[in-house]
Amino acid sequence: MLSVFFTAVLVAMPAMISSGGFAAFLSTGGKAISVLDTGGEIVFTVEAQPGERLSNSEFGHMKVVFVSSSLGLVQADLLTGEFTVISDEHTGAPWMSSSGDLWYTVDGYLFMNGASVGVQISAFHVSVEDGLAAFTDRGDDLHILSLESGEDTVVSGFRFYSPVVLPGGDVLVSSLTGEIVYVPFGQNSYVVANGSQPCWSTELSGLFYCKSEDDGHSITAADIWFVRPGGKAVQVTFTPEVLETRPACSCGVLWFVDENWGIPECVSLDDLSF
Amino acid sequence: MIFLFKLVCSVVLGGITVCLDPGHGGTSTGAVGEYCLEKDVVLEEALLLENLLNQVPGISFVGLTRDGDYNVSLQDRSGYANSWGFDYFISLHENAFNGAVQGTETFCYSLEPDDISYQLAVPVQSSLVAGYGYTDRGVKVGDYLHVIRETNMPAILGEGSFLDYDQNWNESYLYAFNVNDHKGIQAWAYANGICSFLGLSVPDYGNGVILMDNLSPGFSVDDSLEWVVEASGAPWMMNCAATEAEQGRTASWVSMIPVYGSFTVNSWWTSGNDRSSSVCYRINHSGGHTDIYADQHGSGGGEWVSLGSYSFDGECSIQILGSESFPGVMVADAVKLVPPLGVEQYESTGLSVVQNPAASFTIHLPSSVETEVLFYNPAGRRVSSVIGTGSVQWTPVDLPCGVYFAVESHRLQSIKLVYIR
Repeated sequence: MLSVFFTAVLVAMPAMISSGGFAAFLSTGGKAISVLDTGGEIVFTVEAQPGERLSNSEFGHMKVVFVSSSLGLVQADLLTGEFTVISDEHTGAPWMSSSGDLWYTVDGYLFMNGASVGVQISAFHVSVEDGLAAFTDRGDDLHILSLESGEDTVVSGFRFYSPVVLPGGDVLVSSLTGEIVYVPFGQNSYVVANGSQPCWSTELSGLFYCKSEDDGHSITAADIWFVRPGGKAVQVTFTPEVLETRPACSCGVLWFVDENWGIPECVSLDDLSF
Repeated sequence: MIFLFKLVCSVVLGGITVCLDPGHGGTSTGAVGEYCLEKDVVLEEALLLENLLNQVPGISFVGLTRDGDYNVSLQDRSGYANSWGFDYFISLHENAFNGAVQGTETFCYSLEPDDISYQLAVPVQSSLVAGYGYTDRGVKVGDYLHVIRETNMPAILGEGSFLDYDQNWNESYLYAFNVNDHKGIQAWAYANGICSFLGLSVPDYGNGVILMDNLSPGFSVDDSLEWVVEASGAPWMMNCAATEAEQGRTASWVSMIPVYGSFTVNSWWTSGNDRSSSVCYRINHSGGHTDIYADQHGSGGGEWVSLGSYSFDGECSIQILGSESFPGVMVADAVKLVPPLGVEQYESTGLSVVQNPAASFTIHLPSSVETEVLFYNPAGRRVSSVIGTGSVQWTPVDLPCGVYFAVESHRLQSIKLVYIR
């Protein structure tokens, strides 16, 4: 494992970082990753070097992990400002579990905190929580794999992508045709909402997601909605002039990005009227 | 923490991965042409391109955001691509404006030389322009386009042509009837551009039939004042070019043939009592040229007539030459080049086929002996078989849209069919 410091990075006074609902945002074109506080202030920024592209950022436990097109998988510590290249091989997207473990694939094998766990998973995106790994195969079926027993539960019916294992073992997964499917642990799956970009809120035991319209080239309308599994969906944002997308939850705060301008904004969950 | 079991997967990571994104779909039709819709054209092109890229050593995975006629939101397209971490993202679209504009353009994130999407867009645009020969409208900034802006990988969006163009020819007709293998050429042009950028070998063009009408872009006459457009029977644009068979009167069809090989040349004309009894077809092939004389006089015509098999290497040129020795009217309607095992889509189902589930395929066979053609779905399950001589007709009955494979019973040759309704 190689530790380096980026030369082109802007570290915006990490000493100011306190606890609370920070969020990391990847800029368009993979040019930068910014960590914002709830006041909208950028507290940490990673900027790509010319020709470099940053992607697949993951944020948690005061660390930002991302894929650099030139370096591989990189972890940035917000408290120390130190950057570490975790893997420079064919690395998948990082996944940080609620306990702070960093999971990812390298050349088709699952790794945790820098070491292989001996499981072959040929997927780029893998979500791991409570001993379960969720991923999709090239036929777009969902796999929920027990890392302990090796039992592989396959869910099909839609073209799934981006599954997320929630604390407790339930799984949330998107489909290309707009269904958001909920798979309660050990039970049958069902469509919980129609939309995209689901984000689970542990505090509210439900998910925020985006419902949008587009003309095939650009999004023309978008709002954030909320639903609890088995419950009724409620609209959270109503401003037609703002295209609210990419909901993200963190410590009592709902973040979203205005698709028009790429600007992150946040609201307190206490201020939401549903 | 080491576990000894191994999850068996049919795929492994490694190699270059490409995500193809056929635009629109479902209720989002995209550009509307007189004979077809953008959503159908780009889906078929994407499936053809997928097949081409899957043949390229070095490309390990080609994904599709849409493999049928259904709605996929822009957020799901970018989300799917990001979830798989594809190396490159190619969005396929066709353009539309006022029916009078024609040209080709490609969008990327920025025009900065070090931007990978720009580096990819340049050879793709060049290849697309070479494929159709339309106006080069250039590589343009498309950072406002969702799939270019929100995907994590270098992404481009191609607008191959203006589908609604209806001036010197009807562009949607070329797509709907795949005249001159219009869709196949665009798919191959994408593959050629992508492979050029990646430094990989370009895949074979494939087994598409090349069909050229008198209104195709590659058609020309020696003097337009001496030729008239004359009504003729369906299907080839309802008309043909006609003139008195005099010395110096010439009509030509010229087309790019991206693959070297032997093709059977066929011609279609309408006959009549005023026609010349001996019209010279000059086939310019890789070995020089061969003149074949056709009798357009009398009651013949109205069908494809074989002019023989010839090898072409990159370009084919077929001419009709006038001569006073055989006076009368000579007509230029259509020619087609059929590879050893070729397929025509929708040939017998008329103009409504784009919306008509009764699409059928005509499979041309390499020999005149009776041959059985077997049809398989992508899972390798045989779904049908047809026996015929010279060609066979296959209509998918109670089968879903998608990709099928026609295999000559001797297993010497096969061809991929894309069934869309």
